[in-house]
Amino acid sequence: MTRAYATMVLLLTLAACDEQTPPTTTPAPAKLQPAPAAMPRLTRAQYDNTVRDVLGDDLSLPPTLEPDVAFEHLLTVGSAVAKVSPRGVELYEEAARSLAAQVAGKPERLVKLLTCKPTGPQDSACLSQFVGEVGDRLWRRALSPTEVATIAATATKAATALGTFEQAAEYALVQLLQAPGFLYRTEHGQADPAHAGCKRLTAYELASRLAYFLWAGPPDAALLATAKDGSLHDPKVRAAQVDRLLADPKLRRSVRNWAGEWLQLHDVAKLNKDPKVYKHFSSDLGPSAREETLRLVEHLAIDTDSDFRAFITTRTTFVDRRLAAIYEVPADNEKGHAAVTLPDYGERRGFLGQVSFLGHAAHPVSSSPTLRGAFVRRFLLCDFVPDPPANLNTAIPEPSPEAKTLRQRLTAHMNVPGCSSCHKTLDPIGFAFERFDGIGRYRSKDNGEPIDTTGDLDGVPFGDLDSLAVVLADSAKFRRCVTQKLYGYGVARPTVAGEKSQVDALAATFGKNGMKVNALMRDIALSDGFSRLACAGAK
Amino acid sequence: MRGCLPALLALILGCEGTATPAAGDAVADSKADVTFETKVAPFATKRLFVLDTIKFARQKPPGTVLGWDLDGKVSTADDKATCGKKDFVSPDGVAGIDNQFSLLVPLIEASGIAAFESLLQASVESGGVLLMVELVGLDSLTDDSEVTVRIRAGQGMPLLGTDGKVLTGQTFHLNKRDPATVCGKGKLVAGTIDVGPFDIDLPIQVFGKEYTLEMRGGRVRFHILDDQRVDAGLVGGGITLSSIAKIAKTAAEDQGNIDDIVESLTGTMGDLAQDATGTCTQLSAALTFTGVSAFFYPADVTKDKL
Repeated sequence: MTRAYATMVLLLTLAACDEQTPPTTTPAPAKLQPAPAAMPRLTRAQYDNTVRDVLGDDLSLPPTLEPDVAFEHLLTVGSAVAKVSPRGVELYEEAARSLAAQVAGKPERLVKLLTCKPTGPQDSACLSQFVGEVGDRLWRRALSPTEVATIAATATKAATALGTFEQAAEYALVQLLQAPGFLYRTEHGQADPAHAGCKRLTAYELASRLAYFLWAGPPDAALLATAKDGSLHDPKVRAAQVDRLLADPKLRRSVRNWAGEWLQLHDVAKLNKDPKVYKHFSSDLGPSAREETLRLVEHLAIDTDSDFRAFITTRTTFVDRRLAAIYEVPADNEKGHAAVTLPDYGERRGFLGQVSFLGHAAHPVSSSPTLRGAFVRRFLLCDFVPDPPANLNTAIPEPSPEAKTLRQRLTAHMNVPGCSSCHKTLDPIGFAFERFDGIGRYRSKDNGEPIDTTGDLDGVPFGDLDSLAVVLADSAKFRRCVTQKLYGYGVARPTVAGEKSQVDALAATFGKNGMKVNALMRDIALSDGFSRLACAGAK
Repeated sequence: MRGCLPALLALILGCEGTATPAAGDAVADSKADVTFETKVAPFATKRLFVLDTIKFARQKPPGTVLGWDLDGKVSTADDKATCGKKDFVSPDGVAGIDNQFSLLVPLIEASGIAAFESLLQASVESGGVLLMVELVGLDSLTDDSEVTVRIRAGQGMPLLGTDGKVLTGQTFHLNKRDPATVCGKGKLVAGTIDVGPFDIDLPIQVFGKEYTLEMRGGRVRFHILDDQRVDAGLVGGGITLSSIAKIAKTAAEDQGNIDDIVESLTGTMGDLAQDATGTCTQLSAALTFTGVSAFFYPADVTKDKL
């Protein structure tokens, strides 16, 4: 496949994508009205996992690919609406060539992928077998005989010119790895026998969606086998496969991936603070804080299968020496992260007491009740928070004898026309965290003054972070928001209004079942909304 | 030579103080009834501060220097009991201050190794000199009728802050040569405590070599600024010349004829603990310090390390 051809195919595919951006503003119906088909591009994490799972986990992965973009705050959802730049196409091609060369250039790697022994450079039968088998895994569906023949023919030409079977295999891989069938999760759907006039995912598409949801990677041979024979549409087979996927260690990487996207941990890893203001800052603090949060999510969702309200309320966290120093608790491990129990008399608890939140939702030189309040609303309550208008002066008053603390200064700012509407919904939440500075260290005073951390969350009062955590964890909005974020991650496209009833039902079950993330993932994977597509005439 | 000097002069202290967090993980058993209470942290009766800066007490003006009256008398140049060593006056006018080492400081600096003090500080920041003061039985950070002070020693590479100093609140291993010396019980008055005398063997590591500095009749004083820092620290006592000689001899294995140089510098400087032959076997000294809060790893973690 030439570069021009590959580019054309990608661009054509992208053009098709654009038309499939689903609506998000239609009124909520009483019954599920599934979303139209989408064609999400593999996110960077999914790309890496697919390459590793299929071609070998020792490959050097491409340093740069077309960047992911978030939609509804999730990269996986953004993958369904993102476009690929011309440079991105080039990067995919370069990556394909690099990966193919690594596989073909090391006999032990190639031999793992071959189920036949090539008799010579132009052993077309063995080459076709290789293309068919590896292609099925990379494209997550059975390649048609024509597709196999086309790829094998091009590869055979390479073998003729270059003289080895390995180079034929390399050229076959180059084609497979830059094709839309690999880079995109195509979801065209098929007629849904249970809902006349409507569509559902094909079995292969369903297998892919399940695997990328529960493993953040491609379906394995067993799952593809149920797609090939169509049995995956049988509810019992689907449930059995979902349970198998949930029991696999690869679940961990998907849970981490989801949490990373949901909580914006990619930004946390790049945390930057003014070193003159925050002595505890170092370049490894961001990655360390990110890992702390991921460990907590793993601990609750996988290791202990706990009530996920604990994500907000728990006194358990996972710290290394640097984080322990910030939290002023003894570390329990010389290297890496280890569980510690925070004092139950302190305010610090749960995710909202972590640097991932307190340091991330803050300015480089100070705390920010506004940013912290906005984070809670956007990511934990799924409220819509608009960005400030571009021409709005967002500067808050400097400290004065009348307004020494940040809270006092922000309260004055709230009276400025154009600012008050947002600040009144954000700051009262953010004030709860004011006893934690911009990097997350506890402080008893702000600018020499006592700190007032009282506030209310949509009318429910709280005294500080400690009590806000309880209010928040018990709120129906938090429960639904977690459900929404996990559902969006699962279906890998924007959620449409017609799915509101589906998400509501999942959230209700999530609550009834003790807010177990593992069970929620299962419910989502088995839900109608997960596998059905829009009906004819649906807007 | 340079490697030995911090070891020679680093007379200091240390302690542990683990404000162990209360156990009990309130895992998500929250109710929507929003009766929040103001929780009050139980007062931590044990505190540990690691020394983050250590400096020599210098004479300024000449004859005036920080330190203690270790032998309980004001000595003059003709006092045989102090081998003819004259005492100094403290900045606040107290006579009889024993700090003969302060005479060596300008000599050391004049000898071209003025980075000596920096080297000592570097040893603090690289974990070679991880000394701590521990307060036990605290009821208040300002006034307390009886508080026990211990000197402890840590081990490991400290995390440094963006200012290059040892970070507040970090965790260390207990040094296998931890002296755990009880310096004494004292009164905390307006945040300041002063205890002694005590004898202690201070473990020090310089350039990978372990040394022991013997201090006799020592005293320590410091001021608790808040729950995270101490300042105005002063520690001093009589450093045995035999331990100095031993350190010099060990250092000489790598540093040439350092033992001869040290002998020439300190051999006649003793002013305390005169023996039967009339030789003063200890050199009075004092160092200033500040400290920041610290913790020790649990014993099982440190056990593996040791």
